[in-house]
Formats: sequence, structure tokens, C-alpha cells
Amino acid sequence: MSLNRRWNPILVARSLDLAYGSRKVIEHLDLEAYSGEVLAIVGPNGAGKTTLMRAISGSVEVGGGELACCGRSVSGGRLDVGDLISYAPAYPDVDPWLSAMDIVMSYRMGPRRPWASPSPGDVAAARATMDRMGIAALGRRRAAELSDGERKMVMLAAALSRRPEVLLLDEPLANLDLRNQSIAMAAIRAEAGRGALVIAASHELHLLGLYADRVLVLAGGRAVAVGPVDSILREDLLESAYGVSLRAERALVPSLGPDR
Amino acid sequence: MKGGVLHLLLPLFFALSVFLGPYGFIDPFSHGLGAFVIELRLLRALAASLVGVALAASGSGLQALLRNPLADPYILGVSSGAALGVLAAIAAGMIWPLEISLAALLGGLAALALVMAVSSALGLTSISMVLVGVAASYALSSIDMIIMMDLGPAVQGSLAWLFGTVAYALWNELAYAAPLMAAGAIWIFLRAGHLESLMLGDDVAESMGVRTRRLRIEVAVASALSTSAAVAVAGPVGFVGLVAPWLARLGSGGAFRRTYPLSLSLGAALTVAADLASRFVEPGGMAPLTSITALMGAPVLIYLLGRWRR
Repeated sequence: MSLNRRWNPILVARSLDLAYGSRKVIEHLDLEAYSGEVLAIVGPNGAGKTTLMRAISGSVEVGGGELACCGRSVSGGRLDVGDLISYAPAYPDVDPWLSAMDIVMSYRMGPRRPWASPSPGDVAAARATMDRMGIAALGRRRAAELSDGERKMVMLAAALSRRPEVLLLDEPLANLDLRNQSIAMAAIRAEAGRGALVIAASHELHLLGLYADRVLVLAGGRAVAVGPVDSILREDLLESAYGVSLRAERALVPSLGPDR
Repeated sequence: MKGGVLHLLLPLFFALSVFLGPYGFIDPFSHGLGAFVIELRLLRALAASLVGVALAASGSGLQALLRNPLADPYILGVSSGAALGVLAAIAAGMIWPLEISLAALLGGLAALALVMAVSSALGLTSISMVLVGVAASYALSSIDMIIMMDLGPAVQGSLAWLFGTVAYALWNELAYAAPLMAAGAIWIFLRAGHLESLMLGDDVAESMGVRTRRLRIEVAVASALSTSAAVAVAGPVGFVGLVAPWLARLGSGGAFRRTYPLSLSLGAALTVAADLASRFVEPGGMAPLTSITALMGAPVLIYLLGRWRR
């Protein structure tokens, strides 16, 4: 990672407001994120995690303040960075007829011209990503025939296959078994390793230390805290953010990347 | 490409449709009455093909944009709306094919806009939107019937038209309708890449820079365009727009760019076959096309649903 990249944030939010109609979801958010890091977003349900990611992905209008990503910035309307980012939703709503390979290829190609066929390179990249995520065998299976966890792995592989500058993953570890969590976390680290900014909303707080660099805690639409994982995983901070008392227990966590 | 073979159904049925009929096999190179019958059959086969292509294009587009395999121009009320436009135009004394086509387009667009506006006002999902379409479809066909009872005896063949038929198609009607059908079908094809993104979910499509609202309106208008042109020629014909995209998906998988051309070809084959069958079900060749497509399509649809469940 070049120093220059570290010093210039690829994502900047200044006093950002986001709302659905009159319902305010995010208020006065300030945030900077850099290429090559994994920023986890945690917080209670309804805290605005998904909304923030949707705003960065350009499907929610910026209500106030400023949002800049990949050198483009808006202070109203929607951010348009579709060619540089990749978004995997928490609950995939894909057409049940699409095969796993169709999903990955459609992601890889984006909204192409109808006569633009995938190049051998595109097909190879899609295959390699599916292989890396351990889902090569699912290629011909239709979305409706996949389990929730399998579908999640397909969506992650699809999002990765675009090789974006910013990767937005909404609950990337939800529904995954230990082995797939391990594969997904290793893939997330690898994306950051090649220089992408990975933003991941997650409820698996015990796994943050394995794959995240920094954590943003959202509660009630406001940034409660942002900083390195260790500074965030504090009882008092999380108790006030989630409104529930916590105690430390020994947790079994998978390794980063499976053994075989 | 196991689906490629299915493309052969269209030329097969087209040839059968030209050579066979209540008057038996006729040598295509005959003169006199034989040549006349061949020309009529050729017109019917061509009209049925175009209608099938238009309905399949519309059905494919609507199914992709609603991500609902039950969407189809007949079920969503677009066909009945277009028919209402045609009947209103005829009642107002218009007879020119261009006027009729435009009236059909206005009716079809108005019906689809109504269904989409009501669904969106009620905040409905795409599944309940189909139900709004069914309601609109029933209401509009009832109005069609009432106007038809008024109009019926005055316009020859109009009752048969209301139940779907290509028996009364005319060359000049086709000349006006074909470009409109093609425009709708091509427009949807040009949005194939965007529709493939939409099939990944609205949020994903938006994140790729697809403006889903605009895309939906565009594809809806294109669907209404090709459907109304088909209605202007053949009346409201059901099941083709529903079944052809299903068969195409079964033949060539889910990606829109692959299923769409096959869906068009199967839609045409299905409609030509239905028209051919209608000549034998009832000797005058007046059996309504929709009753044949429904007879052929219903078991196919149930088979597909059963296969899909497993």
C-alpha cells in the first residue's frame, strides 16, 4: 500500500444526512475510509447500516451534507459510482431461475450492452472467484435450489468478481457455517490486500478481530464511535449502543481461511 | 445449447400451417383457387407468428421487470385494455389500421399505467401486483363485452376477434402492426443487459448504476407497445406471453439474453400451432385462439410449476 493511498481517503462523508421521505435514518455522519482497509459497521437493527451502504452504492439520495467516493462527490441526489463499486445485499432478492454462474456473470458484466458477450477473461475470472469461494460445484444450480448460506456465498463471489475499488458487503457472514465464514473472512482480507476498501455491516462482533481493521458503531442514526477493533470491543461502549448488558465468554472462532 | 433445437419448432409449425387446413394439403405452387388458399394460410401463419413474437416479448419483459414468472400482458390487463381502445375507436367510427393501432396502444398503456399506479399507491409487492392486474383484466374485459354487445353485429368477425383470432388479419393491418411489435420487442432486447442486472435485485441493479424506476417504465411501455399491436391484429390472446418465457427458461437457463430470443421463437411457434389447431377444432376455423392457447398452455404451465417445485 502506497503512503499516498493511505493519506487520501477513497470514501468521505461530511455531516451526511440520509432519510426515507420524512424518516431520518442517518444524521450528521462524518467518516473517512481508505483503500486497503476493512471497515466494519456494527450497531443495533435499524441503526442505519444498510442505508449508509445503499447511499454509497447510489440507491439512496444524499439528503444533506456531502458524500464522496472514488473521486466523485455529491451533496444532493445520488452518488454514481456503479462501475467502481460492488454491493452484496444482506438478503439477496435474485430471480429464482438464475444459476449461480448466471449470477456471478451478471455481476461481473454489469448492465452491459445486449450484444456484449463475456470475454474468455470474464469467464475465467468468474470461475476463479467461485473456486476461491469454494462454490465451483454450485455453478449450474439455480438460485431457488440453493440454501440461504450457499446463496450468500454465491453473492459474495459475484460481488468479488467485479474487482471493485470499494466492496460493500451487508452482513457477509450471516447464514454461513464456520467453514464458509472462514472462507468469506479470508476473501475479505484478500480484497483489502489487493487495495480495495471493504465495508462490511455485521452482527458477528466476536469475529471482527479476525478480519476488520476499524469499526464504525452506529446507533440511532449517529456514529457512536469509530476506531480500531480493540478500541471498539469494549463492554461499556457496546452496552450503551445495543442497550443490553454483556459479559465475556469463551468463543470458538474459525481460522482465517480453511485448512483444506 | 440444448435449447437451440427448440428454435426449429417455428419453421415446422409455420410450414404445417401453410400446407394444412380444412381444405387439406395444397400444392404450394398451384394456381387459381389453390394459390388463393395458400396466400390466406400464409397470411394467417405470418400474423400468428408476429402476434406470438409480440406477446412473448411483452411477457418476457414484464416477467423480468416484476421478477415474477406469473406476469403476462393478458393477466396484467394490458390485452383487455388494448382491446378496449380498439373497440372504443371502432365505436367512434374509426376504421383505419393506423388509428386502430394507436387506439390499442393508448388502451394498453392506460391499463398498464393504471395497474402499476394502483399497485404502487397501495405499496404492493410484485405478487400482489399480478392480482391487481387480474382484477383490472376482469373489469376491462367486462367493459369490452358490453361494448361488443352493442357493436357486435355491425362489425363482421368482431366477436371472434374479442376472443382472439388471426382469421381476419389483413396484409395492410400487418403492415401497420408489425413495425410497432418489432419496436417493442427490440426495445426490450436493447435493455436486456439492464434487465439482467435487475434480476439480481433492485438494490444490486441500483448499485451498478441502473435507474430501476426508469427501466421499469421503459420496459412497461415497450411491453404495452408490442402487446397492443398484437391485440389490434388478433384481439386479446392469452397464455402465450406467460408460457413462452417459461419454456425458454427451461430450454436455455435463466440469463435474459439467452432466454429472450428463444422465448420469441417459441411464442411464435405456439401461436402458429394454436391457429393451426383452431382450424380443425371447429371447421370454419373460428375457434377462439385464446381457448386453444389456454388448452395447450394450461397443462404446460402446470407441468412447469410441478417441475419447478421439485
